[in-house]
Amino acid sequence: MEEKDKLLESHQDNDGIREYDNPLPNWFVYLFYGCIIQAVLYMAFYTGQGWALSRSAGVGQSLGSSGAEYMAAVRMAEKETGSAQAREFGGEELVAFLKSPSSISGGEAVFKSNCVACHGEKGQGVVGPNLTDAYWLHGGSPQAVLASVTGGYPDKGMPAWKPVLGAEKVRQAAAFVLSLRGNAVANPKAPQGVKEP
Amino acid sequence: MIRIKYDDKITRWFLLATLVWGVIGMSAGLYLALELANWKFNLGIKYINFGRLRPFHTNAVIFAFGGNAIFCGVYYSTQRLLKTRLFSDALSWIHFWGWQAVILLGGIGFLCGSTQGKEYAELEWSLDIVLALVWVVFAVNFFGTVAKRRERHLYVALWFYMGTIITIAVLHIVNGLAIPVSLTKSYPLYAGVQDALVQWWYGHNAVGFFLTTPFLGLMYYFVPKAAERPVYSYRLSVMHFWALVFLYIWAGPHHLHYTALPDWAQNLGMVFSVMLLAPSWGGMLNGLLTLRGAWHKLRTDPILKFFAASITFYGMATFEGPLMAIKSVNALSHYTDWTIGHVHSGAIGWVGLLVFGMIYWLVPRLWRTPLHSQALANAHFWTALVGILFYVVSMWIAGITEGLMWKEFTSEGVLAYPNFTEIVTKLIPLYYLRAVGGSLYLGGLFVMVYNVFRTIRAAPKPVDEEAMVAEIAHNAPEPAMARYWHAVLEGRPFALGILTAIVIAIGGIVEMVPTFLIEANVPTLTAVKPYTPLELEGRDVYVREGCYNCHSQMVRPFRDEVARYGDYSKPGEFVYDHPFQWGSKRTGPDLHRVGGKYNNLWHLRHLDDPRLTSPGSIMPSYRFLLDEKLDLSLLKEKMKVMRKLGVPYTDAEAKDCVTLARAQAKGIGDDLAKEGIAGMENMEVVALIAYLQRLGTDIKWRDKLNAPAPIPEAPLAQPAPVTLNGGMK
Repeated sequence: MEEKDKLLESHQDNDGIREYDNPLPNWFVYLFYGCIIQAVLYMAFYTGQGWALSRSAGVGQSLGSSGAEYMAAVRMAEKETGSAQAREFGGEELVAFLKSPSSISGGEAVFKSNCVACHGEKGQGVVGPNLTDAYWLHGGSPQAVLASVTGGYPDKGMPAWKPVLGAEKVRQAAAFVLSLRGNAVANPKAPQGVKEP
Repeated sequence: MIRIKYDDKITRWFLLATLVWGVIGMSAGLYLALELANWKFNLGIKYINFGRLRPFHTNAVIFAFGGNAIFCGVYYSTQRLLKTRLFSDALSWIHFWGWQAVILLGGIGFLCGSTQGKEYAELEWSLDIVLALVWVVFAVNFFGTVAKRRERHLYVALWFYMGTIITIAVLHIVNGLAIPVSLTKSYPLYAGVQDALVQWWYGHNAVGFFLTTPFLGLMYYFVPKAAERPVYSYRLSVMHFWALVFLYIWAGPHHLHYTALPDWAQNLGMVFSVMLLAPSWGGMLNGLLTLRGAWHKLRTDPILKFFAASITFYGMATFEGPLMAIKSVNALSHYTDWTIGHVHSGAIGWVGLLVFGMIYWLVPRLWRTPLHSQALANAHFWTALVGILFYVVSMWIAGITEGLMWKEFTSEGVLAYPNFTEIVTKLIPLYYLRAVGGSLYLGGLFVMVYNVFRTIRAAPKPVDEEAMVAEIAHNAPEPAMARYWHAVLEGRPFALGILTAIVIAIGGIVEMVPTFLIEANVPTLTAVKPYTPLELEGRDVYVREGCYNCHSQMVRPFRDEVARYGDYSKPGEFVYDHPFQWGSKRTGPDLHRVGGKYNNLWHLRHLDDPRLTSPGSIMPSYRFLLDEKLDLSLLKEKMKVMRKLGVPYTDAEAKDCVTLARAQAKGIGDDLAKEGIAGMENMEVVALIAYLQRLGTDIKWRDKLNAPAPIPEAPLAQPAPVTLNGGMK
C-alpha cells in the first residue's frame, strides 16, 4: 500500500499549486485495460468478419460487417412478416371489400394522413386531380383505382403507396377514394382525364 | 529577485469578449430552438433561416465564446505558471483583434450564405487563412513566453495548452484545404468519402482539442487555485494527458457509423472512442478529487459549485460519448436530437460552467474589487444547472422517440410511421421544453453580465499585477530529478511539443492514408457522372442555405432506411461531391434518394411553402428562391475549379456551361409552366430542383426496387452478390 496524499517533490512554485503523488485508482486502471482489450477483440472479430464476408461476396471491402447485418435483418424480417402479410385477393371478394363500410372508414384515416396534401381535405383536388368527379386519368374502376394507389405514377407526382403503407391500408385508401365519387365539394378542381359513366 | 508586471489588460479584454460573444452566441441558440418549435420564427427572412443561423450559433459559441475564454484563461495562467510577462504585447493585441474580426466577418458571412458547408468548419477560405495566421500569432506568443520562462518545468496545464495549439493548427489546415472560386466561395480539395473522413476527423477533434484539452488545462490551474487544495494525482495527470491526446484523434469516424465510409475505419472510430472513456475519466477524477477537503466550501462558494458541476458534466458527457459511439447504440442515436443533447451537455455543462466559474474567480482579481453579489452568482449557478437539465432531458426524450419511430415496422412489414412529419410533430412539445431550458441558461448568463458590470463599475482603475520573481539560469545544471521520467520532458518544451505532434499525427495518418490510396475502399461506379452545370449551381444553393443542417444525404444499410428512402448509399456515388453533404442530423428526412421521387411541381410548392405538400412540416419557407434570379456569373470559374479538382468535365461542357445550364433550366421551367406555374426558368429555384432531382439517381436503384426483391436463402457466409452490391457497378 503506497502512502496516500504525499506531496510530489518539486523544485518550483507553479504559482502555488502543489500536486499529490497519489497512485492511479485500481478500478480505473482495470477500466483502461478492459477498454483496450475490448478494442482488440472487437477489431479482430468484426473487421475480420466483415473482411471475410466481402471477400466471399466478391465486392469491395467497404460494406463489411454492416452489410452482413443488413442482409441478416432483411432476411429475418422476411421470415417474420411472411405469415403476417395481408392476403392478396381479387374478383368478387375485392369488390365486396372495397364497398364495405369498415374498409371505407379505415381508408378515411389513411387518406387524412397521406393524401390530403395533394388531393385536398375532401378529395376536391389540389395538385392531384379531383377524386369526387366522374373524370379519371388512369381509370375509375375499382381495380384501376386500386392499381393507381398501389403503384402510383411517380413521374406525375403520385407515389407508389403499397411499399409505404402495405397492402391492407392501400386497399382501404382505394375504398375511401371510390366512396368519394359524386360528393358535392367546395372549390372542386377542374375535370382531368376521361369521363367514365 | 526582480520585479515584473504581468499583462492583465489583455486578459481583461478577452474576458469581456467572452461575455459579449456568450450573449450573442447563446441568444442565437435560443432563437434556433424557437425556430424548431415553431417554423414561423424564421420570419420569412432568409438571413435568419435555420440553415444559415445555425452555423452562426455554433461558431459564435465554440470559437468566439469558447475561444475568448481559452485565451483569457491561458494568458492569465501561463504568465503566472512561468513567472514572466507574455512574450509580446503587440502579438497579444493582434491576436485579440484578429480573432474578433474573423469571427465577426465569418458570422456575417454565414448569414449571407458564404459557407464551406462543412460543420464547425464553415468559414470560407479567405477567412480560414486569416484565422490560421491569427492562430500562428497565438502560438508564437505562447511559445515565446515559454522560451523566456523563469520556471524550469512546465506544469500540467501548460502541456494541455501546448497540445491544443499544435493540434488545432494541424486540424484546421488539413481540413480547410480548398480551391477558391471567388473571395467568398471555394470547393474543398476532397470529395465524398474522403471529405467525410477528413471533416469528422476535424469535427470530432474540434471537440477534443478546442472544447476539451484547453479547458482541462484551465481546470488544472483554476480548480486547485480556487479550492486551495493540491491536485489529486500527478501520475494520473501524466497518464491521462498522453492517453487522451493519442486516442482522441482516432475517434472521428464514429460520426460516420454505417455510412459509406469503409467498415474498418468505422470500427477503429468506435473502439478508440470506447477507449477514450478511461483517460477522459482520468481528467474528471483529478478534477473532482482535487476538491476533496474543500467540499464544505461548496455550500458557500459559487465558484466551486460551478467547477464541481462542470467536471461532473464532463464525466457524464465523456461516458455518454463512448456509449453513443458503440455502433449498435449509434444505429438508434445517430441523426437524432440525442446527439444535440449530448453536445450541449458538453458545451453548456462542462465548458460553460467551467468558464463561468473561471470568470467569477478572475473578475475580483483582475479588477481588484470583491464581486458585486455572491447571491447573484449563486442564483446564476442554479438557473444554469436547471436550464441544462431541461435541455438535456428534453433532447434525450426527443432523440429516442424519433429514433424508435423511424425504425418501427408493423407486423405486416411496412413502416409504422411512413409519414416523416407525423414523427416531427410529436417532438414539438420537447422543442418548447428545450427552449425553456435555453432561456434559463441564457437568463443566468445575463445575471452574470450584470454582476460583472456592477463589479467593474465599482472598481478602481485597473492595473497590471506585479510579482517578485527569481531569474533562473537556463544553462545551470538541473536540480536533482524527481523520481519520474516524465519530469525530463517537462523541462524540455521543444521535445514535449514534438512528441505531442507525433502522437496526435498517428491516428489521422492510419485512417486517412488507406482511405485515400486504396481503391477498394471507394469502389468506382461507372454509372456515376459529374453534376450538370445547372445541378452544380443548385448544389451551391443547397450548401449556401445550409440544408445539410437538417437533412442528411446518406441512406444507411438498415431495413427501415431502405424502406423509407430507397437503396442504401454506396461509397462510389459521392466521388464528385466537393464538399460531401452527408449531414449529421435528420430534422427533416434524408435526401440522398429524393431524385425522381416527386415531380418538379411538388418541389416548387414545397420550397415555396413546405406545408403545402407536407402538412405539419417545420421547415422554413424558401419563397425567395422563387423570386431571385439565378446568377450564373461564377459558373465558368466553378467549372474550371471542378476540373482542377479532377471532375471529368469535357472542354465543351466547360466552355458552354452557361448555355447548358440555361437549356436545362428552360426544360424545368417549361415543365412547371405546363403544370400552371410560369416564369420560373430564370429563378434560383430551378437550379435547386435540378440538383434535388439528380440526387441518388445515377445508379438505377428504382428499377431494382420494382423487381421482386432477391432475398438470398443462402447461409450468411455465402451472400448472393446481388444483394450486397445490387449489380450497381
